[in-house]
Amino acid sequence: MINGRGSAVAFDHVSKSFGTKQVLHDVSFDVRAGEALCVLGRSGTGKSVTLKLIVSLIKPDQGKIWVEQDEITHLAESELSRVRRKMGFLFQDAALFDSLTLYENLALPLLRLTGKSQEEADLIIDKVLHQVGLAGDKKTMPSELSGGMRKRAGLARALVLEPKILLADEPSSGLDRITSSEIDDLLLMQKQEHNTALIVVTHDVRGAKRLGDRIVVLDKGRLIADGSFGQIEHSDSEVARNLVTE
Amino acid sequence: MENRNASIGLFVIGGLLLFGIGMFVVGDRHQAFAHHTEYYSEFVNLAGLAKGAKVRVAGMDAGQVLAIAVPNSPSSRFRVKWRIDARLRGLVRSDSIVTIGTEGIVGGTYLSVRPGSAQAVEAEALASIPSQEPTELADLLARGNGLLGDADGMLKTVGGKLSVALDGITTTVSNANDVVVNLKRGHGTAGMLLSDDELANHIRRTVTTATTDVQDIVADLKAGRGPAGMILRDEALASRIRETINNAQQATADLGHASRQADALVSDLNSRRIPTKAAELMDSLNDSARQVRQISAEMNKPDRFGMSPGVNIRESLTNANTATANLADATEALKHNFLTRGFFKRRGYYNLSEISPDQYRKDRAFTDPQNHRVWLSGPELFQSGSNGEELSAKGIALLNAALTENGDPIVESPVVIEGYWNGDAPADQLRRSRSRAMLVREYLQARFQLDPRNVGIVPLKNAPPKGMQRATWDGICIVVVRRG
Amino acid sequence: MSNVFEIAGDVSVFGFRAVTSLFRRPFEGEQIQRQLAEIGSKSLPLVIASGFALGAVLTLHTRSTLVTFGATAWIPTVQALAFFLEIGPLVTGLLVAGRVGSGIGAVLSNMRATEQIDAIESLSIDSFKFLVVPRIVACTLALPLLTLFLDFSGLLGGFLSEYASSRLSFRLYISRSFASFEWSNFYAPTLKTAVFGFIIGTISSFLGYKTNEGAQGVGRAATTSVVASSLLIILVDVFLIKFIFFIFPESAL
Repeated sequence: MINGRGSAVAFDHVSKSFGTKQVLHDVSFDVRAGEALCVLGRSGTGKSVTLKLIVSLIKPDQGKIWVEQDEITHLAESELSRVRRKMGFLFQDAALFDSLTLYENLALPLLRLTGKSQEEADLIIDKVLHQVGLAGDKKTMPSELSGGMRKRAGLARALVLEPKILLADEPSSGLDRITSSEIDDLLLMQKQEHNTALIVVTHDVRGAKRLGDRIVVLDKGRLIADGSFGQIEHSDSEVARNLVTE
Repeated sequence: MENRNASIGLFVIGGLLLFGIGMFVVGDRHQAFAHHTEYYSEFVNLAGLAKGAKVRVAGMDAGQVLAIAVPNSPSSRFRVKWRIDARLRGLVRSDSIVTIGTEGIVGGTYLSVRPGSAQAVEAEALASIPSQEPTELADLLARGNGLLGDADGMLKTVGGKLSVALDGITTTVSNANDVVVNLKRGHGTAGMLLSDDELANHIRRTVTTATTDVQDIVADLKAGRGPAGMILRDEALASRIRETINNAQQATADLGHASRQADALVSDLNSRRIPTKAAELMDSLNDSARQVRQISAEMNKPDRFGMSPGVNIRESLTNANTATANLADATEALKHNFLTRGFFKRRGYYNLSEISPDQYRKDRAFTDPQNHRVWLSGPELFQSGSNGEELSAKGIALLNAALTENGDPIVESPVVIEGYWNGDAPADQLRRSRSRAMLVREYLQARFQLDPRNVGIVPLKNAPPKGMQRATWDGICIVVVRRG
Repeated sequence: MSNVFEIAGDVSVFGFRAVTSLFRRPFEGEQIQRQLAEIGSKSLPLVIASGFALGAVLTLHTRSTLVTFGATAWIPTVQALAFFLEIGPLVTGLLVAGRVGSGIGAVLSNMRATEQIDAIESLSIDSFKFLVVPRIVACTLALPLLTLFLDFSGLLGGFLSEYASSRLSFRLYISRSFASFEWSNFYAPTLKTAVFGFIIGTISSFLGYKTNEGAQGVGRAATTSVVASSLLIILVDVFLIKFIFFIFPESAL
């Protein structure tokens, strides 16, 4: 199963350390197309690193990472750009480019990574903004948006490439319950309408329970549980059980 | 977006425009966009002239110094390459003079090109234009100050010393008169003084020297030998004047001393009317009287010129009186001269009419190779006339040409006409060469209205001064004395 | 101490990388334009106002000194030489280091802290080429132009100040200003500011790009950028002046 074939994303015995600090230790899991995986864990357990490994912002020390058919740890930059086109990344604080308007933020990946014309790009941007409820804010600068709007804008930027894999880093952090569930709804809608694989890193158990078809729990760089929410609730690992039951 | 591009456009175009303006303004000063003509000039002393310095033609900024080639031995000179706007090349003639000027006390140096004369040909591009060595500002200031100081000092010294001298001489005269009166009276004690040969000689010598020196001065002054120039120029003369005056004072002091001694003696004698000593005194007096008589006799003997001392002294005194009067006149004239005449203009040269040929040959001022000389041969200049030689028509044309060619300097500078006659009779050489010089002088003065004080003549027989590359000459030579 | 050398080495490699990647595709012309507007156009008011004020003040000072020597005719010359040779380049360098250097340091370190750089990388855009190179290029291009603005506004300030006291005509002022100018007096000091621009761009970008310490690091990166680039500009200026004298001996006054 863990050979990449048929999986949207697969980790095969991946280890990563920064300096002397081991962040991931021999982690293996896979996500099928159209499946939603929630990565749970306490802060500093390597959840964000997992996402950055997938888009190859950082390279693992050991192990292999598969994105669909491609093993990405040794891909050249030009090949990586082809792989990255399949993925959308919603960063923790949205990471919108401060100096660009909302429209320009969305246009940048489209114009950079696809060969689409200005007109095609405009159509897609309008559609996506409408989808996230920001249709009237094309000319707005990111600094003028509220937290929830920023998150939605970040999601919109992740969605313009019509990704097969959507990565979300703490989609509910810094947001109130209602707003965060709105974001969750948007993610679910994307998954259902486009059969997008979701990988959501979170410590929000409620959201994870709602979003995740499957949950993996990370603790001190190790994967300690993998399964449905109910399975984790009855896991052998006390840490994992405590985490989901709070 | 458009707004941003407009601001970039403003910024970039504005910046490039300023760059263009800068290039243009700096280039304008270098006349980078004009046609140029280049020339060379050579200097011994650059006076700080550097590459890039301005070149001014007739005072107008016209170009710049391009390069300076450094000489490789002391005998060669700095070769300066300069260029000017081609429009001004018409002013640069073969007789243009290039000098190095200073812009002001804190200014830089520049190359100044004096336009040539209209008759001279236009200088070729890349030609060497003659140069004049620069006067450095510091020198100029020092010289100016020095001159003023000298002039001031001289006025004071001359004025002061002359009046002292006059007093001194007056005293001398009266003292001498006293002595003479005493001698005439056969005053014993005074006569005793005169037994002192040395003192007598001293007095005589001093008075004579003083008199002759003063006479010399007066003669010079009267002769109108640019008194200021003469005195300022001739340090030896100045010291002679000082010496004379000292001598006169010394003589006065000596004579004063002598008369006081005489008085003392007389009063001493008069006071000692002591009977016991009377006989002795009488003997002594008789002795003295004898001695005085003897001295008188000796003094009255004619000197080697056959003049009796009385006459001698009288004459000296007359001379001294005349000298005094003359000196007073001269002082007035001198002051007048200083105050009213162009002092600087007259500096450094003087009337030439009374210079002897020998003096003339020795004076560097006249034999300076830098002087401009025009040699004109006798047969071309003169023809036989009713009263001996006279100027021929051809000669007049030659003189006109020679002087026109010289232009201004001949009007501004002292001119000496050297006369030469290379005939067979050596006895006639002096006379004939002199008359030739005089002929030419008459003509030149009449033709060019030259100041007579500025035109001298000198008969040099047939031999030019040394260093003229001519062993003999027949004709004349017009020497334009360099003003220095 | 070894830390200093390490940083110096890192900065050098960083600058070298900027130069080499400048000539590789894509050229990020859009970003260069954007930075040129940010660094150049938006610095104009500051630079022009400073130059104008400096020019006026400098003339007042030189005037009082030169009047003593009766050399008032030299005021424009002194003014222009001072501005074009040294005041213009150095003051522009320091002003831009203050305004732009701190901006670059803060912006880049903030982008690092808020994962914007990661976001750019995740789009397969070379963040170094996208963020750093345009800033260095813009600084390098903008500084000579800004210097000219400061030089000429200084000249204008000097003129107005001089006009107020002596009614000197503008033409004469300009003609006297450039009376002692060599070519190299004009373009060598102006072009040397490109080096200042490169220094400001490189140092500030380096400090911003490499800082990853959250919000606190942003402030520090900004401050350090200004201090380090100002100091380096002044030091490098000393060598550049010597270098210019060496290349153009006639530019030495």
